[in-house]
Amino acid sequence: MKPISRRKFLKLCSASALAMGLSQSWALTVVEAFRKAAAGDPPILWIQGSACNGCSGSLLNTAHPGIRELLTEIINLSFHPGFSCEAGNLLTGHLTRTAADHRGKFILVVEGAIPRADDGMFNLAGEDSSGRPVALISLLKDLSEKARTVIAVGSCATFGGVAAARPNPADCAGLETIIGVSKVLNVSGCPPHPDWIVGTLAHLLLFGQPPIDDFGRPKLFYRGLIHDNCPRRQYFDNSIFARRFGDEGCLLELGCKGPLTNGDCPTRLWNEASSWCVGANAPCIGCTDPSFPDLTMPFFKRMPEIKGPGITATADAIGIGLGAATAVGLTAHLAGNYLAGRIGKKKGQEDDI
Amino acid sequence: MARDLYYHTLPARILHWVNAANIGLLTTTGLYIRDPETFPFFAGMDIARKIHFIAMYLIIYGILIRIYYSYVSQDYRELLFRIRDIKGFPALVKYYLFLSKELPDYGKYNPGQKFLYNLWAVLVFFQAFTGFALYFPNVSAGLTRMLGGPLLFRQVHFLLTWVFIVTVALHIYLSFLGGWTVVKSMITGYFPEGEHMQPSSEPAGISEKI
Amino acid sequence: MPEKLVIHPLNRGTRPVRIELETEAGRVVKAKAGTTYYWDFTSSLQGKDPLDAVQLTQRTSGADFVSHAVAACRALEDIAGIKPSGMMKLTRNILLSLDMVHGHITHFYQNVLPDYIPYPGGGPFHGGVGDFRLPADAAGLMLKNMWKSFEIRRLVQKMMAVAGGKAPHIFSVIFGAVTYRLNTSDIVKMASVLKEISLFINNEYSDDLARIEDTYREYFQIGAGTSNFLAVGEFPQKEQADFLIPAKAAMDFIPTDLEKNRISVDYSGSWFEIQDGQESSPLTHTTPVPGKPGGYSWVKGAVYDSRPHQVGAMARMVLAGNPVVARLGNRAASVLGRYRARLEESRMLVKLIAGWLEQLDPEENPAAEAAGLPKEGEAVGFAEASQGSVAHYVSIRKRKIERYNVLDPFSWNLCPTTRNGLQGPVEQALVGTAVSGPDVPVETLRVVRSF
Repeated sequence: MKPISRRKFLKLCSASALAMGLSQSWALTVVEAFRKAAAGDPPILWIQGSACNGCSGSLLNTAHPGIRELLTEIINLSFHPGFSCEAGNLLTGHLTRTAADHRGKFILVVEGAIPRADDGMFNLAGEDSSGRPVALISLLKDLSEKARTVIAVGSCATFGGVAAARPNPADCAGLETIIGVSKVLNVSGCPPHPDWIVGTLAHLLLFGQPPIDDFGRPKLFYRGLIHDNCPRRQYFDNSIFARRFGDEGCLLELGCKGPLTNGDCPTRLWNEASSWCVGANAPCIGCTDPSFPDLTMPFFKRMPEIKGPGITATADAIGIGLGAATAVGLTAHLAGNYLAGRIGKKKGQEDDI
Repeated sequence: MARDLYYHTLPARILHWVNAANIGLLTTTGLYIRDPETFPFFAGMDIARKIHFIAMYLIIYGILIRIYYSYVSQDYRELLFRIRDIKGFPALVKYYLFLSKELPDYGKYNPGQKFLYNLWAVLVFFQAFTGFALYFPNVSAGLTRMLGGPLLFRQVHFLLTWVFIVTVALHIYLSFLGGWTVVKSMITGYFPEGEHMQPSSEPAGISEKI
Repeated sequence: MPEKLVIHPLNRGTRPVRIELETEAGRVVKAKAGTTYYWDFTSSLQGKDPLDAVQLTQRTSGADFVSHAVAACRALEDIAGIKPSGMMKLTRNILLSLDMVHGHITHFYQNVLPDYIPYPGGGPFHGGVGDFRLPADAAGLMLKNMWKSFEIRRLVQKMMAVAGGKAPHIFSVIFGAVTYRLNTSDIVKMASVLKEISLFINNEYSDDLARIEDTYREYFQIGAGTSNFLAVGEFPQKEQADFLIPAKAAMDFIPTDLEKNRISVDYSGSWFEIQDGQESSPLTHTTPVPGKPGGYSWVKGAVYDSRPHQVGAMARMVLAGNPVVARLGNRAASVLGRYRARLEESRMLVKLIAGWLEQLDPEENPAAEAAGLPKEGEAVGFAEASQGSVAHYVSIRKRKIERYNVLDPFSWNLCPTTRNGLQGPVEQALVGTAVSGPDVPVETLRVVRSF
C-alpha cells in the first residue's frame, strides 16, 4: 500500500468523511500507514494526574481503529497506569527507565489536572528510591523536560477543567500553565472524543506537529463551532426554542453553550456515531472550552450570572432594570417640566406670539 | 420673529438619520436574538440575524464617515467633548434638576450633548469589538480568552446595548422636550435664531414659589 | 521486628491507592490504605445552581458516572417532592445497570486479570506479579478474552450513549426528567447489542472466573474485610414502590433496614479538617488540609453506626439474597467471593435490562409531573454503582447550593481508620494476608483490587 498523503489523511480525519461512511477506508489506510510510521517507534508514556479516569475510558471507546489494533499494532503505548502489570512504585520502575532510555524521543501524554498548592501535596504520585513522597507536579516537570512532545488530554490536563473549578483549594492547573503554552498540544473535552486523541497521535506520528488554534488544540478537530454545525441550527434560525427538556427546538434557552464551544461533535457524533449531547435533547455544556466549567456554569441556564461586588443579578435583570429606571426617570422629569412651567401653557408667552 | 439659521448641514442630517436607523435596527434585532420571547420584534431568528449583521457594518461605516465629516467640515470644534467642558456640567445639572431656571449659553451644544454624542462613538467601537469577537469566534480567540472569554464578551455586548437604549431614550426625550423646532431642525436643517434648544422656566410659574 | 512495606501507586483502579503495610513473619499485621490525590467537588459546588451538580458530580468517577448523576437527581427530586415517572425510572435503571455491567467487566479484565495470568509484555502490559498457576493454554484463552472484553465494554458504552447522549459522562439524566425518549429503533438497537454483551458475560466471563476459582481456591479464605455490609437500595420498579436490591445494612451478617440518618462521616484519617470533632454529619463544612496530623488519605470515611461497612456487588448480592452468593455463606466476603458477586450481578443485570427495554413505552412522557425546585431544602440522594454505594448530600438556600457532599464507594471500602480505631474494609481485609516476597506482594495486590 502506498504511504498516505497528509491531504488524504486530513480528509479521512474530518468528521464529514466519517459521517459519509468512509470510516472503513480510514481504518485500512491509516492503520497501514501507522504500521510503517511505528517503525520509528517513539514510546508513549501516559500519566494520570488529578482526574476521574474518564479520558482513558473514552480512549478505550475508539472504534476505527479498535483499541486492540491501536495498542498492539499502531502506537507504542509503553506506559499507562490502567494497564501496567507492575506492582507498586511508579517512580522506580518501567516508567522512569523508559523515560531515561528514550530521552528526547518519547511522547508524554497527561490526563488530569496538576495541583500546585502546598508544593503539590494535593497529588502525590509515588515515592522515590529513598521513600520520600514525590509530588505529581515535580514528576511532570521532570518528564516533560525529557519528552519530545507533550500532549494534554482532557479539559483538566489542558485548561484545568473541573479540577480547577472555583474556589480550587488545591490550586489545580492545566499542563500549559505548568510547563508553558508553547510546549503542549491540547486535546480538550470532558472527556475528549477518542478520535480526537487517536487522530492527534496519528498526525504527530505520521506528519509531525498538527496545525493548532489559539488554544493549542489541533485545528483538525476543534475548528468549527458546535452551534454553526448543529443539526438544530434551523430551529435557531426560525427562533423555535425548546422550553422544557425533551421539546423539539434549539436548546439555547435551556443553557446550550454550543455558540461558544469549538468541536466537531455535531458531525462526528459520539460512541460510534450513536448520539451526542444535543442528540439526547440535552444542552452542550461547553466541555472543550478553556472557560469550562467556571464560565459555562450554570449549565442549564441561558447565560452565566454576572458576579459584581455584593450583587448577583442576571444580565437580563440589569438590562431591563436599567430600561425601567430610565422610563421612570424620564417620566418624572417630564412631570417636573410641567410643574416648573417649562413646557405646556406658559403665562407670559401669549404676549410674545 | 427671528430669522432661521442653517443649523445642521445636509450630510450631518443624513448621517444622523442613517446612524439612528442602524442603531434602532441593531438594538431591536439584538434584543430579539438574545431573547426572542421577551422581545418578539421579528418573525424569525434568520431575518433578525441578517438585519443585525448588515446593520453592524453600516453603523461602523456610518460612524467612521461621521468622524471624517466632522473633521472635513470642522464641526468637531463644536462636537468634541473637552476637559474644559466638565466645568459646564454643574450648571447643566442644576437646570435639569429645576434648581435654576435657564441654561447658560454653551454655544451650539451643551457639555451633556457633547458627552453623549462622543460616548456613542466610543460605545460603537466597543460594540464592534465585542460583536466581531463573537461573530468570528476563531479569528482572535486567544485575545478574546485573555480579555475574559466569549461569555464575558456576550454579557458586555448585551449590557452596552442597554446603555444605548438608555442614552438614546434620553436623547429623544430631551429633543422632544425642546419642542417641534428642535426636532424639525434635524429634518430641515434650520433653527430659529435666538431660540433655546431646551425650554426655560421664564416667565415664572410654580417654580417662583419654590 | 515488623517490616514496613509501601505500595504506591497501586494502580489499574479508577483511582490509584497507596497502601502501607507492617509485616511480621510473612503476614500483614497492620495496614493503612488511602488515595493520594484530592478529588472533591464540595467546595466548587457551593453557591452554584443545584442543577449543575448533576453534571459536575459525574466527574467524580470516570467509571461510575451514571450513579453520581442519578444520586444527584434523586437528592434534588426529594427536595422538590417529585415522584419519578415510569419512563424516568426505566431509563435511569437501564443506564445505571449498563454502567454497573461496564464496571464489572472492566474490573475483572483490566483490574484483576493481570494478577493471575502472565502478559506477553510489550505495549502497556509490562511487568508481572508472579504466582501464575493457570496452564498456558487457559492463560492464552483468557488473554484473548481480555481483548474481547474491551470490545464488549465499548458496546456497553455505546448502549449508554444511545440512551444518554455520550459516554463517559452522560447527558440525558437531569433533575425531574430524562431528556431523551428512547424510540422503537433505539430499543431494537440496544436489545441486539445487549445480546452480544449477555453472551460474553455468560460464556467468556463466567468461564474465566471459574478457571480462577478452581485454581486459586484459597482466595475464598483471603481478604474478608468487615463483616458489616451495606447497600442503599437500587432499581425502583416501574409500578411498585420497593427496590429490587433492598436498602439494608448488615452487622455481622445480620441484615436490618437501612436508616439513612445513621450514616455519618469520619474524618480522623482523612486530610480534611472539620470544625468540631472528627465524626460529623455529611453536610458539615470541611477544609482540605494535606498535612493534617493523623491523616493519610484523601478519602472521607463513611460509617454507619460509627462502623465501617463494605459496599459493592458482594454486599448487594448478599443483602438481596442472590442464591449463588448465598451458597458461599461467609466465604462471600473474600477475594473470590467479590469477583463471583460481580459476575452474578452482571448476569442478573443483563436479564433485567432486557426486561426493562421491553417495558419501555416510547409514547410515554419522559418527564415527571412538573414541579420546580424550592428555594430552600436539604436531602440525600442514594444510588448504587459497580464499586458500591453512592450518596449525595445537598442543602439548598436561595435556590443555590449551600452545602454539598459526595460519599462514593471509596468512602466506604477505603474508609480510613476511624476515631474509635476501627479500620476500613480494605484495611481489615489486608490484615492477616500473607506476604510472599518484599518485591511482589501479590496477595495484597489481589486483596485490594478485589474491591
